[in-house]
Amino acid sequence: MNARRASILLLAGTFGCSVNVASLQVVAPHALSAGVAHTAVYRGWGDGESCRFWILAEFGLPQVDEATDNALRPLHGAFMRDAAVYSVHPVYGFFGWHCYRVVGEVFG
Amino acid sequence: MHRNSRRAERDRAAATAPPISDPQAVRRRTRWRSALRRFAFGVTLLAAGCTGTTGHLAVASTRAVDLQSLGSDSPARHAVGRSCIDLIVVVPTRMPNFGDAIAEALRATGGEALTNVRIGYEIVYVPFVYGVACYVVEGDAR
Repeated sequence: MNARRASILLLAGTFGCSVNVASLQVVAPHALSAGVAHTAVYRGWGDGESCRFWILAEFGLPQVDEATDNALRPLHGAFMRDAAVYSVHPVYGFFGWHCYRVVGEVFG
Repeated sequence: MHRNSRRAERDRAAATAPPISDPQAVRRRTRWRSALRRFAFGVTLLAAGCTGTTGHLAVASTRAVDLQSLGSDSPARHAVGRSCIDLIVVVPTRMPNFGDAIAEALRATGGEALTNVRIGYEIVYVPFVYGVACYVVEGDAR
């Protein structure tokens, strides 16, 4: 009975949400070199995250540029087009993470 | 002079007020006042404001922009945009959106894109009562 109660409580306390906090046509975390705008080609679909842990209080804020960097790096991209930024909050009772997730088309 | 007249008024009011003869009622009233004072002090202490930076971007835009036109020699105007929401008790009315804040900054200046962008997060909150949370975006509109 106690185990059942504990699992119900654990399930009730485990939740999360993801909300769109920006839809951007263009985003670049670093200054673009002069030639990039001319020569950039589509490199694929990028997906990156930046997360910070919290327990009762948050230990710093996740960074949008870090999430964008993480989306660009695997594809060696310089900027993104049609990017969506989500604020993601997986919560496990009294602790969890706050993340920014950036997805979009990578060019470079 | 003023102070003396105020004291005299207070003495008159005390003399006309019905006396509380029950010592328990006096104690209850004192305790209640002390609790109220402590609560007010606590709320004042907890009414917190907090600001933080949640990103720096070289370029960001909500408009389909030609990147070739965004050279550093093109004229720029410093712009600020905000997107705010209310926090009622602990429930946000919706989520703030920094895309909206960028769009507001571009609308205000007539720019196509923001460069040297700082994305900030601000919150002012009286715990379990009310608060306001905002994304504040600033940069150079080109």
